[in-house]
Amino acid sequence: MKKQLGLWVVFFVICGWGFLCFPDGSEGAAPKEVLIGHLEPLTGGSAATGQSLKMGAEYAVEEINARGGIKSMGGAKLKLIPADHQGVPQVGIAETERLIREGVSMIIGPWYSSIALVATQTAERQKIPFLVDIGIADQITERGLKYTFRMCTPASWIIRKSFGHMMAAAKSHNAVPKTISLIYENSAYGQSNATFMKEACQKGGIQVLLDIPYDRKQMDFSSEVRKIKAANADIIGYTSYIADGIQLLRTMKEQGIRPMMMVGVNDAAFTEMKAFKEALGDYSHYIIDYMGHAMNRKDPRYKALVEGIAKKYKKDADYPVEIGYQSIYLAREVLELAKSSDREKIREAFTKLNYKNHMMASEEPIRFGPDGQNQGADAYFQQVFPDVLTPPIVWPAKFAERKIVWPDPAWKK
Amino acid sequence: MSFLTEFLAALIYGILAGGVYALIAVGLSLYFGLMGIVNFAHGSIVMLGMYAAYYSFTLLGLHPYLSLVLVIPLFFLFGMALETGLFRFMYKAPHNNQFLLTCGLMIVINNIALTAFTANTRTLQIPFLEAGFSVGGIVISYGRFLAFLVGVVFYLLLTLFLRKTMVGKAIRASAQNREGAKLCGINVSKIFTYTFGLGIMLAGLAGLLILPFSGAYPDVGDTFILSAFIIIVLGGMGKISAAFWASLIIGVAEAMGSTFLSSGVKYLFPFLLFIVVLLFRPTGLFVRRT
Repeated sequence: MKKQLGLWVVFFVICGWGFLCFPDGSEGAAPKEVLIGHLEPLTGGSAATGQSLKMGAEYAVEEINARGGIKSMGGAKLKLIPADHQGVPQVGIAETERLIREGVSMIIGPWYSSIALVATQTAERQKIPFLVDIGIADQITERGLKYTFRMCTPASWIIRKSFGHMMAAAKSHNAVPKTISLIYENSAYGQSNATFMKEACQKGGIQVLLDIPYDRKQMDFSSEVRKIKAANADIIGYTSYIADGIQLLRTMKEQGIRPMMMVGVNDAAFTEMKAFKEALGDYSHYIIDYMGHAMNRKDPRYKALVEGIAKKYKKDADYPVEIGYQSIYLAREVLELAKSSDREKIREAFTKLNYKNHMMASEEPIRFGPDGQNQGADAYFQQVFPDVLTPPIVWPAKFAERKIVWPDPAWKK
Repeated sequence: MSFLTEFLAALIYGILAGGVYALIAVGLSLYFGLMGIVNFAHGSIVMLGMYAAYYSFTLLGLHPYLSLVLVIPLFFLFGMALETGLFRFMYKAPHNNQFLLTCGLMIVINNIALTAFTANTRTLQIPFLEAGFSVGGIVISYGRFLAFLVGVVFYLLLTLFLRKTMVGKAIRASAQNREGAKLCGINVSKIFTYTFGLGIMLAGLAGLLILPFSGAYPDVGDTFILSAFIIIVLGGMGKISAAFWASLIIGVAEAMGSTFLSSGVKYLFPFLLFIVVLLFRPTGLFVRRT
């Protein structure tokens, strides 16, 4: 009997504590803090990228809070709640659920399309607005999700828009390609890029002479490169990961191939520019790569960001830092419009947003279509130069940091 | 672009690629034939050989072919140490245990490499080896050609060693009949140690020769190991000449596949061949039925 009494006491104490701690919502419409979940790979193979994304986002949050927070909400401060998906979909789902339990008003993330696909679905079920910062797989916004919005450029757009840029650059330099040879690694990544590329070529009137998928564990490209040499196309378009890309281009160097332009179609080897340049030497110069979503590097805010990051973290503001920074400013714009931390109002604000003073390298405002895709998202050319490590943006001209070199000076006609 | 030139080009590229496979498969076949150890970590040893050549070039300034003098004794000793410290205890264990041990070893070595060398792809910049020479319009890479030549020389040396020297004869005797060899006074346990050392040395050598025309990264070994096993099964277990010729066959089959069909199906030929051989000649192409 005594024992039972003790249990009852414990039960009531716990209930009472829970009752006292539970927020009753009487604080009024303007909360002091808006919680934003930030889901990125903070450990694992892409940890460096995830840490950079987080650094950029944290920096933006501090800047916004120091300048008076969200004005339409009486100066409410932003609070970032980091979460780590480790590159594993199961962890991505669990971390999304944790963020939702912690009461975030929206979630931003993630690097890895595979995580974006599952995390957005989890958020959709619980009606949490999800801003995809850098997952490029087309399907992310093709599933009719109501709470998913994407800032960056989807893969098919990158290729379609970059292809247009390529033709414009070629015309302005009076060296227009007529033929192309395509070689790409044969997993979903290379295959989907090649499919979009072939569509673009067909529409653009460029003849595809060769279409070579390869296994990325392949050790020898001699036969493939011999075919490429014989075809002698104006453009060689390739999609690779790093080790196979190096092997492929080295074999081309060996066999003395140099087209009007060597073009990486969303090439992953460009993310490891140091190894790429080391392995290929002069041969890497003036290779072009298609890329999606960039910050306008002529915007004074870009310069301020680079200086700020260097001062505060003693690091270079790389591409992921830019993405993290911009996504928070986009979130601020949405919150200003929503005037509330309520998830439904935030979702509504996303659909009504027309953000003109953004930092993205695009002339269009950021507006989300009915599928949640940012309609202003654009694509760019980056080109390898001998004197700088990070390839500068060279096209479209309005956002170019340098003048494009076209055709390749080493072109063997 | 006549058919004949294309055929010749595919043949040459295939033989050169087969030479690379042979470098790896012969070492594996050597100790697989003697001790019956299925070593999945063999590819990881090749990877270590690549890094050894890379660092002796960048840190000591040794030309990759000169680093032979360093790599050969080092990997021989490493192999002997592995045998006495680890593999010795596995000969009587069931095959699935050997499989688990060597897979574990592969993961351990790859992860140590990842920590020590980072995931960056390392390449050598030697202008001479990055170029190629042309024979009748067929461009051949110096790096691949030299790897093939040095590989063949080492293969011939190994064959001579096994046929002419006492230790070589003892190795062959132990492979044929372990008990009989023991009765003749051969220290079989010592022979095992030497043979394993030789196999690991050949793997290290393979890495060194492959590096100039490719790149080193921690899990590069995984690309070699499957082909190596197919080769030794295709050729026939436990005969190094079988592994050598089977390597050339696989190399040529792949090159023909990517020249006359598509690169996507280049692995179709070797695997079809593999299945046919398993069905009709399970002892392998070059080993007589007993």
